Amino acid sequence: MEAQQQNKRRRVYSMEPNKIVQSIFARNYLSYLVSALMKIKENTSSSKDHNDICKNVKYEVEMAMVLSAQGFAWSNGLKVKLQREHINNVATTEGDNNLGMEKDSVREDKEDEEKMKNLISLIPGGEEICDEQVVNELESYIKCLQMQVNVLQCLIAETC
Amino acid sequence: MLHCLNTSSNLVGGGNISDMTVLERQRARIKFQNEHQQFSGNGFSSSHQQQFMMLGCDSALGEIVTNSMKPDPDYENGFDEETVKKRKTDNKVDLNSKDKRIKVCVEEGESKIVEQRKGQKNTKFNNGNKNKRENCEDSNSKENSKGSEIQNQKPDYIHVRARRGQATDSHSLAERVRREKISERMKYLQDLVPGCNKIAGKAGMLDEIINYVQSLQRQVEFLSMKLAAVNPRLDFNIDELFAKEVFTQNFPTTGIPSEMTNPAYLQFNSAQQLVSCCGGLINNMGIIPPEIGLCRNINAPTSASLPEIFLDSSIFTHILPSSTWEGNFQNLHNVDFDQARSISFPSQPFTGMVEASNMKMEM
Repeated sequence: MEAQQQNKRRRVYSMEPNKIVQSIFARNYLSYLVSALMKIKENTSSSKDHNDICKNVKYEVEMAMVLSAQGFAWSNGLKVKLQREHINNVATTEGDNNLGMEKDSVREDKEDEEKMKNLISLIPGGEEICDEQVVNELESYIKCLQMQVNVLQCLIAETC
Repeated sequence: MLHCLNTSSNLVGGGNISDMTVLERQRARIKFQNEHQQFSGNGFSSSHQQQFMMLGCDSALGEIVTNSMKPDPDYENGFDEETVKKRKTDNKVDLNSKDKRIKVCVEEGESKIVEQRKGQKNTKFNNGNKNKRENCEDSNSKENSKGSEIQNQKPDYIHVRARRGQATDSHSLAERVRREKISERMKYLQDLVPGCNKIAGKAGMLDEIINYVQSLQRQVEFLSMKLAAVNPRLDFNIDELFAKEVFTQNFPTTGIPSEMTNPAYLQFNSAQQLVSCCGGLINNMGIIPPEIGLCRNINAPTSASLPEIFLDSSIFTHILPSSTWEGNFQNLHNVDFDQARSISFPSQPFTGMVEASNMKMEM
């Protein structure tokens, strides 16, 4: 009984905003991405379609994200999504497809809920995250996104 | 739970277990808590006091009360504020029926056992739920309102107090707790999302956050496409990757990198330069440039140089006056300490943090 209670309490992934995640994330991210990109570079022959390369790179970019930030619900969701896409060989653009932002609700509460839903749909695997964790996951996701952008910019700046 | 059942049946003198329903046990528990609180001299709401005084008239109760004088420091500390517990399931106890209370109290002759058990449970409860309770402290301070009490037996429940004139059923209380939690974390999100500080309303903030996440995702997409275009020309010369220009590009506002490359530091190789630059950057910007982590990774083959940097306190004493450095520095620790190397670190306060952060990593 007590063990059950203990397990119940351990639902939360992280107890406070993870500073540690930041440094480890960047390190892991770059290492994964660089090795993956080198592989792509080696494998690409001149005849290969530019789109294919794009898809591969995009896949690797997101995969590196997943691998560098494990332990979050959104990273699991992202992994699932990537695997599904990779199998089907479909590169979907994560743009604004999912948002129903044009809805006009009258009541403020409903609007708020609508927005929360939109926000949750933005997070990969967001629908499965329980309400209490949504904000935590959102924090870590935004942080990792920021760092990802930073790293990518560095890479590109370096190689251009 | 079974324990409780047994003890309560003992208390009734081996009577029917069915008589001591969950409800009554809860009431008994609250009763004892109240008594305890009374004797430890903490603040009490008027309603509680009234109830207690009524009960105090009963002689049997007086006996019980004197018996239950065993001090329980943990228990005291835990219930310093008046906390109202809320049960997640829908069992509500109507505490306004004072007759039942008296009856239950009389039945429980052996108070010590129950009290002990409660003490144990409550200490566990205290340790597990300090965070949750803190959330409700400000609402707890509104004592004299028409509060409704809801009891619980299980430890991991959220404290909620219904404020004056607000709905008091468990669903809306749960809803309110949820909303309060979310709004609290929203404040933290405000710091993350740039430009969110001016916006006050929750709706506006949500909009901002949505826009920001979308823009970040689009940026990632765009950058990955650009990377794909650049890919054939990739030549990952790592040392160059971490040359100063990267810093100046990403942190154009700080003049720190140029400062750090004074002649004293020029003799270092690029990795060390990176670290010293990073120290300055951390100091001023309060963030960890991702390149620190990168530096560690890249220099794995030539890792001997890095520890020396960490050991060289002269660099860091030069760099860091501010306290933000402390919090960030543990990241440098983690970056370096993943290999089993005993590096004695010059300043003591950090060791504790390293351990704590290592623990977090294991999670």
